[in-house]
Amino acid sequence: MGKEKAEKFIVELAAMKPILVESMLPAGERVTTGEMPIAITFVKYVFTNGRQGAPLDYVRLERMLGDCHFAVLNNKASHPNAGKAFLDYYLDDESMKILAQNGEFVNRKGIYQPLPGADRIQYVQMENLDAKAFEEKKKQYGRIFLR
Amino acid sequence: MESTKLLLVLVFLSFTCEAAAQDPRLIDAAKKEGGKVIIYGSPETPVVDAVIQTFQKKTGLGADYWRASAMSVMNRAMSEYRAGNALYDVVLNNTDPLYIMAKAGMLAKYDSPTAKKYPNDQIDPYLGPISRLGIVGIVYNKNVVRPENVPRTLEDLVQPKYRGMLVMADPTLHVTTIQ
Repeated sequence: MGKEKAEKFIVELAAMKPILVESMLPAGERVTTGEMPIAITFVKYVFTNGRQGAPLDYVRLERMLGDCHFAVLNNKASHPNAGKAFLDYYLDDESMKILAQNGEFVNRKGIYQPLPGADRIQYVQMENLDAKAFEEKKKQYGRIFLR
Repeated sequence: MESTKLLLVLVFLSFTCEAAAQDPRLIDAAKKEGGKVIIYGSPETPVVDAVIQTFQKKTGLGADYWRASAMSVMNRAMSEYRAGNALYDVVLNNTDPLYIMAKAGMLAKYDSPTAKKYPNDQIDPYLGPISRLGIVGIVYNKNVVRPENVPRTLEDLVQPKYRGMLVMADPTLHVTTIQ
């Protein structure tokens, strides 16, 4: 979806008056209970909530949006060595397998979460915004979604 | 004889891999500074707790985890940092809040030996390797949405028949949705 098309889609989506919640987690909860039929949210909830019996599935979009996650050390950490030891472990295979078994999409070839089709999901990395652009987007979406 | 050689190679490989992953000198130093790491992050608590359990078993180090939304994690971390009382050692979060924190000079660059296992194009110069991905898509409840009404594309969601059926994170509050 190009920029122009994406902006048109956002305006049209806002016009649908979706229920807005604090984060992806409550969006996943609302669709899990059936209170809301459809959510734009993390696909991992299909697995994590599904293993507790939630009747969820996801649309096999050609490409989805991917939000990159990192593990980073505080430069004024009170426990810098413990922090480094944790990062060494967190970034390694064993931890990545645990994350995947618990439904996370990890960035390691050959380690996939158990959701059917997880290994075939293609994603586009989300746009990174600096603090100024971030505030501008917030205001812009406020005008579109909250009017 | 061949099987003995193979066994020796495997033992050697497992030793070297282990050494690369967890440096005993680092663990000793961590024990001297209290033996515990404080982590703030946005991944759900049960997931991180599962990692912490094996981390503790492997290293003997403790770990406390505080979870909130990506934006709340950034706000708390920045408030503490500016007040000169940053309690966290490690942050697990997504790109934008971490870039904002990096720009404020709050993050340390650490070249973890395990980062070498990631392709170069998956390593951010400031934040290190991309460890996991939040994949955002369309999730639906099969008991409520009939198969013939399941949307096929993102654009389908703006069809009138889906009015009043959608929930999403607030794009004026939620970092990932703002992106």
